[in-house]
This record gives sequence, structure tokens and C-alpha cells, in this order.
Amino acid sequence: MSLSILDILFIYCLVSVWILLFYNIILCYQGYLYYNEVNKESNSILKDMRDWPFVSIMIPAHNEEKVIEKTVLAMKKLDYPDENYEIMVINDNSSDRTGEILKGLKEKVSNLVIITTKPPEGGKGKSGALNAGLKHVKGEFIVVYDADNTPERSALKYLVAAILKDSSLGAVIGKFRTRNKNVNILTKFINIETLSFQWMAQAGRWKLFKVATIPGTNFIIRKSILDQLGGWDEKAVAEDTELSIRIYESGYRIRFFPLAVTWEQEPEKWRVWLKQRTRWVRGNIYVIKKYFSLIFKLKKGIISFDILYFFSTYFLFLSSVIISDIIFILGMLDIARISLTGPFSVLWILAYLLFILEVSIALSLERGENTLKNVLYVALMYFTYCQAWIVLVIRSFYINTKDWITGKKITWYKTERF
Amino acid sequence: MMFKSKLIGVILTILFTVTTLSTFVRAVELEYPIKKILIVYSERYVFGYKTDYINAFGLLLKHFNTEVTYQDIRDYKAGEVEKYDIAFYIGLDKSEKIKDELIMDFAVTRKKVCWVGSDMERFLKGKKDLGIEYLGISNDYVYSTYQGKSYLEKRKFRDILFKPSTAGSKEWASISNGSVSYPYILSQGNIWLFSRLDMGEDAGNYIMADVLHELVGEDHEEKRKAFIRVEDIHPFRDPGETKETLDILVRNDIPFMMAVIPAYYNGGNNTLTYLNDKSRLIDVIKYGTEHGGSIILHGFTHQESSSATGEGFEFWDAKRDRPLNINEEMYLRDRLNNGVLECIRNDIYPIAFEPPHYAMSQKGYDVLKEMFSTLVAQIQTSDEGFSTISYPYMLYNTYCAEYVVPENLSYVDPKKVDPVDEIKEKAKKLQIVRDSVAGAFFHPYVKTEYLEEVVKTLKDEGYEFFDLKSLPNRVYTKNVQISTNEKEIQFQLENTTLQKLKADKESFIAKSVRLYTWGIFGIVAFFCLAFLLIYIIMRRKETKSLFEKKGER
Repeated sequence: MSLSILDILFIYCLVSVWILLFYNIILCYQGYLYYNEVNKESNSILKDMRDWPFVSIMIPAHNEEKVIEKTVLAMKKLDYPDENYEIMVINDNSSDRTGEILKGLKEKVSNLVIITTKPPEGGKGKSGALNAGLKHVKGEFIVVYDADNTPERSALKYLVAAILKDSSLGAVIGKFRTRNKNVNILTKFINIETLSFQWMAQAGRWKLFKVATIPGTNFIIRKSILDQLGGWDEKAVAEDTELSIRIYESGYRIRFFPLAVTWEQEPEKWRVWLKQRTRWVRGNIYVIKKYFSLIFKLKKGIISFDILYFFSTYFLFLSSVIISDIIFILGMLDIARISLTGPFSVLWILAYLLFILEVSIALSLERGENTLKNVLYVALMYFTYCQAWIVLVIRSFYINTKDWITGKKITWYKTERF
Repeated sequence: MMFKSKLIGVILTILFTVTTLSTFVRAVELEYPIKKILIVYSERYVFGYKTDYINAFGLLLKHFNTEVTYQDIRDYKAGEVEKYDIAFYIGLDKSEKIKDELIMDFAVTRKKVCWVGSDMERFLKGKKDLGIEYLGISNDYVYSTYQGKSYLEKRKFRDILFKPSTAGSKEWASISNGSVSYPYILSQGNIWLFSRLDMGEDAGNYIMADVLHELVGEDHEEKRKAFIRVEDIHPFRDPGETKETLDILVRNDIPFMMAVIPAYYNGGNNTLTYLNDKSRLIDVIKYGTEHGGSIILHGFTHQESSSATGEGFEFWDAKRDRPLNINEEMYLRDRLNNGVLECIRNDIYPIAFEPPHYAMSQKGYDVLKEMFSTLVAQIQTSDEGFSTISYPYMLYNTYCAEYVVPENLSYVDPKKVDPVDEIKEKAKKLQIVRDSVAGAFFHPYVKTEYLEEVVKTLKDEGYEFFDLKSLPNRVYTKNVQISTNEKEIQFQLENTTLQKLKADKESFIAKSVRLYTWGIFGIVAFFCLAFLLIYIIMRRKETKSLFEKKGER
């Protein structure tokens, strides 16, 4: 019995998949611990606060006529002294009625600041818009929301209280929830996905390594740090991930604080989802490309670890999943089989169970999400939504390669509103 | 002429002592010209016994450079004796079949002739001029005396009593009932007389074996050797105990043998466990080979059908006490090939064979001989039933093997009052034979003090320890050839076999993968349970807090 190439590939898959799965087991458990920790903190954190600092909320908006009014009004309703915050909307090269709507709102919302940008400065994407706004902000803290967000009234206070409590924090990120989670199966899946991502990756990593990544919305950041770092990287598609790394490199940390909640609109169509996610994946590939070669030069070892994990997910895990799928199919079609023996199918079933349990635990940390119906969705997700991720990543690699060959520059992809 | 050839032999012996350790084997072959021997018999078996005594005796003669021919008395034709250098007539029981032609030939020939046991009356009466008087038959002569020493036999024999009435005869050994003694072995001129044929594992046999040197005319050097064989090393043998056992031998700085059973069959769950699965034991065996140990293949599983390894016979139908009713050749080849391959893939090189329980059919020996040059064993002389004969010295060019290294001291049985007693007694008695090879075996689970005692006994008796590697051993299995020369073991593998073995080695990875997968399985199963618990706790919490909320309203 000699090891064939198939066997070696299989061993590669087994090893890389299980290393990542074990990491996720740890993350899940740490997320659960963090949930208990934050619950204890929730009673005291706001009561201890006396003075509320001036905060600038920045909302980049590019053709957001459908959602901008609702968003601005939600910002106005925030439980925070009116005189202590400004709502800055950066109307970035909109061709729709966004500008008009904003002008109209100016009367109702006294602390609304409108920044309008046009090419050549404007229209370069979210990072550019934020950088444009940065020049005008008054607050020592900046809070960023996407144009489709509806934060809970307490969100801002929680973000501010959390960052003031710990001077080592460069930024605090809140939790985002899916407003349209009950629309269709896709939004249900996204709801489950975002919750488990936040409880495992964000909460788990924070608890374990004091590391979290800015998700692009519902976060507070010290203006001083942004000034020091020179704002957002306009070339980066995943500007937030990129910024997160730089924050850690400058000696600060980012905390995930799930009591600050915002509700956002998630794609309801697979096509939109695919476009949005392709942008994210490509953004992550950009980050990996930018930092992977520097992995041993980064000051914070833990960030190197994080990038390595990122890399592992996109390269090791993806390749392993694809290879093991191919091996499975070859075996089914009786073309070639691995000669290795072991409790592989039992292990596979366990991996499935593990997935269901981990995600279910993440959901159980969220009031109202801990339903048997959701567990069934999780069970179904494994074979549907999760597999779509493979298509997504391959597509992103393909587009990246194509763009690299043709020399095309990455441009603003905005999630379609509806 | 005789002197000259002897001298050449001695010179060659010295030369070989310088160049190789396999002296005494080759010396025998070179020193003496081949002698043609005829054994005429009337019966092969003694009533109630399964031993083919004629065959057994013929094998004893294979200690010498001889070519043995067996002839049933009924087929004997006048003048036949003249074609041979030495002729034996062996009478196991009183026989009416004895032919006058044989008596006449024995009486008149100038060739060496030897009358053993029964029917001697008619021979002596027919050859009155010999001056030896026939006195009858007795069972009372339980003492054997040789070279001034007297030995009490453990069993009684049917002896032919005779007495030389004239001088000129030589009494090599005698028998006694305590008060009267008669010749056991007597020669007068070219005629030799044995009062009985004793193939037992006792003094009488050893005396005969030693006297045969004179009879056949080979003056072997007085040099007694001994060996210890560590027995039944199979995959489930405790490596620690085995190591301790080997250490005794290593510390004593003596060569030894290890009888390895490379696969263990467990009838209970119908599984075969290979040596390959037991890396610690392999290391211990290798440690043994690096410190003077030689490997003997002791069957493939040391069992057949459903019996357990170590207990069952492998090449004998023990239930029906007959050869296995299968294609023995294929079966044997298959098992030996597997056994050797399993050893080789673990870098263990067997250079001889020991049949499990020494049981082997006559056909089995034919196959065996093609595959192994060397047997370290007793010999089963017939297919009539399981019964083995032990020899006091080396046998050469037998139908069983080129070299038969005898085991004849038995083993340490811890159940006995004095477990080493039998070995001690036999080791002493084997001193009778000028070039005896005394072999004992020892199971690694037995207390090592006994082994120390065995080693001490053999050393005290003046035995030199025998190194199996001193023989030019050859192993020819399907794809593997192993040979020893002086102190080196060489082996040849067919290329494909080598690849196959290499591949099998790689299955270590496959094995690790399987083990690690089970490890992952265990860990993941644990986490799944832990997470299920967390999930249940969370569900309870939620139900509780929902209830409290409702209560608040």
C-alpha cells in the first residue's frame, strides 16, 4: 500500500482543514466567554459616565436616495446630547436625489453637516469620501456608519463609553444586525452568518488576543489616530481591515463591544450578495497581498497571526475544500480512491455537527435568535450558503487575475439599495 | 593416504579458523571422503510409537559425510553389502523376515557391517567363528557405561545380550543391570554389534552417537557447543520482558538465537497483528541482532485455522494428528514467504527456520529444504503422527535441511519444582558426545534468573557458545534471498519486492493518519458534547429570561 498523490493531497486537506476548525472551536468558546463578560459590564458602563465628549458621525453616501433620510433621522434620534455630536454626511459624487434629500433634512436636523464632493477629488470610493470628510470634522472621536444603517438609540453612548474607559483602545466596534432578516432565505442566512462571524471572529478574537477588525460601520475611532495614520487607504477596497492593521501597528487596539448595536440592510438577491461579497473578498486579498510579505516585520505578532489566518482561510482552506470535494467525487464515480483508511466519514459528520453547534451557540447569544427553526437553517446552510462561498472566492480570484492582466484599477462598488 | 587427507583437513581447518568461523562445518565436508551407507531394516516402527526409527537413525548418520540408503529386508538381494562402505541391519523387534542372504553377506564381507538389536541370534549362530555368544533378550539393563562413566537410563530397553568368548574384540560401551554387565556396543574386526537401537534423548543415545565417530571413521575434534534460543517472540510479546531476557545474554557476551513469529493471530476477534505494528518490539529484536542474536523464523503465525499463535501447530493437523489436508507446498511457501517478508520489511533478517512445535510433514521438509538451508529444531521422522527426535549434534545435508542445529536440552518450565534441572542434567549428559551441540530454549516471559542459571550451567560445563551466523545459511523465499557469510548477513530483494516493502514502510504514514484521525475524532467529539452543553445552558437561560420578562409585564 503506497501513498498516491491523492493520498498526499488528502492528508494536506485533512491537516489544513482541521487546524482551521480547531481554531474556530477555540474562537467559539472564547466568544461565549466574552458574551458572559460583556453582560456583566452592561449594567455599569453607562452609569459611570458623567461627561459626553463631542463626537462626529460620518456617513459616506453615494447615490443613497432610498435610505439616506431614514438613516439621518435614526442618527438624530440617538440617545446622546444633541450639542455634543454632529451628523456629517459625505455626499460623494451622487447623481441621484441624495443631495436634495439632505438639503431638506438640514432644517429638521440641526446638527447635520453636509459635505459634497465631486471628481476629481470625489467619487473615488468610500475611503476617499471618508478622507474628504475627515478634513472637516470637529469631534475628537469619529463614528462611522454606512448610509443604510439604523443604529439603536443607545449605540453611540455605548461606543463612546467603551472607548473612554480604556485609553489603549484606538477604536471600538459595535455589533451590526440584519434589519431585513425575515425577507427571504438569503437574508436569513446572512443574518446567521453575520451573527456567528461577530460572536466567533470578533468576540472570540478580542477575548483571546484583544484583536478585532473594523467592519466598516458602527465603530468609533480617535481622530488623533486617523490624523497620525493619514486617514484611510484609498487604494484598499477593504479599507477597514487595512485601517485595523495600521491601528494595531501604531500601538492601539480595537475592541468589539456588542452592546452598541446597529441594524443594517443586507442583500436580498443572490446577485447583489455576490457582487458585495466579491468586493469584500477582493479587499481581503488586497490586504493579504499588502501585508503577507511583511508578516515577519509587523510589530504586533498577533496581527501577523491574524493575517496568516486570513491567508489560511483563503488559500489553505479553500484549496483543501476544493481538493477534498474533487477526491469525494472521484471516489463516487469510481475513478480513483484514496488508499488511506480512518474514520473519515464519521469525522465529516462530526465536523458538520460542530458547525451546527458553533453557529447555534453564536445565535443563542442573541435574544430571539435561539430558535429550533434557526438551527434547521444552520443545518441547511452548510450545504448551500457555505458552498456558495467557494464560488465567491474563485470568482474573486478570477476577477483579480483578469484585472491584474488587463491592468484595471479597482473602483467603487456600492451595494445596491432597494 | 588416510593420514595425508587428514593432514590436509587439519591445514584447511587452520586456514578456515583464520578466515572464517564456520570451520567445523566445512572441515567435516572437506576432511573425510563421502561414505556410502546401507541400512537394512525389517520394521520402521516399534508397535505403539509414531517414530520412524530407521529414518531417525539414518539422520543420525548425517552427522558424518555419508550417503545413506534404506532397504527393506524383503527387497534385499545377495551381495548388496559390497556396494557400500558400511552396512547396518537394524532389528527393532523379533522378525521372521530376516533373510539368509543378509546373514551370509554380513558374515563373509570385509566391509564394515553393523548388527543392531533383534535377530542377532541368527547372525551370531550363523557366524560361529566370530566367537561371540548370544545370551538372550532382557529388559533389565538400565545402566549404560561409557568411558568409565555409568548412566542410569530413564526407560527400559529391549537389549540383546551377547558376550565375546575370545579376545580381540573391543567393547566401546556396556550395559548393566546393576550387578552384571554386557556389551552395548562391541566391535570385532569389521563387525560391529549394538545391543539395541536407542534414539531416546538420554545417555544411551549419546553414547551411540559418539561411538559412531569410530564406526564411520571420522575423528571429529572434541569441541562442545551450546546455544540458547529465545522462543516465541511474537507481536504481543512484552518488549520490556523480551529486552530483559536478551540483556542477560548480551551481558554474558554470548551469541544466541531469537525465534520470531512475525504475525499474531487472535481467533477471538479474527485479527492478525503484524510485527510491523509493534515498533518497540522491533527495536528490541534489532537490539538483539546487534548484540549477537540471530533470527530464526518460527512460522508465520505459529497456528493454523482458529487456534491461537504460540499454541497451535502451523504445519500439522494437530486435531487429526496427520499432515494438513491441503496443498501443503503452496501453503508452506505462502506462509514462509509472508513470514520472511514481514521480517524483512522491519529490517529483521531470519537466517534459519524452526517449525512450530517442530511439527512438519515429510513433504513439508522437501519444500522447507528449498527455502531454508538451516533448521534449528528436532525432526519429525514420519507422517504417522506427531513425534520428534532430538539429535545430540549437528546434522548435514539431510533431507530436511542442509544444516540441522539440534535443540536437545528442552526449556525452562517455571511450573516445575526446579525449572532448570532438566537442562542441567542433559547438558551434563551431552558431554558424552565429543562434538555435541546442546541447545535450550527460553521464553521471554519467564524469570530471567533462570536464564542466568542456564547460561552459567552451560559455561560451567565447558560449552562454547554457538553462533548460528557461523554457518553459511541461505534463505530463498519468493522474492528474497538471505545469506550469511562469516559474521555478515547479506540479503537480496527483487526490485519490485523492494518497492513493495518500501511502500509498506510508507504505510506508517497511513497508519499515523488513521491514528491521528481517531485522535481528532476524540477531541472533536469532546467539543461537540461541551458545545451541546453550552447550547442547552443558553436555551434554558433564554427561556428563563423570557419568562421573567413576561412576568414583569
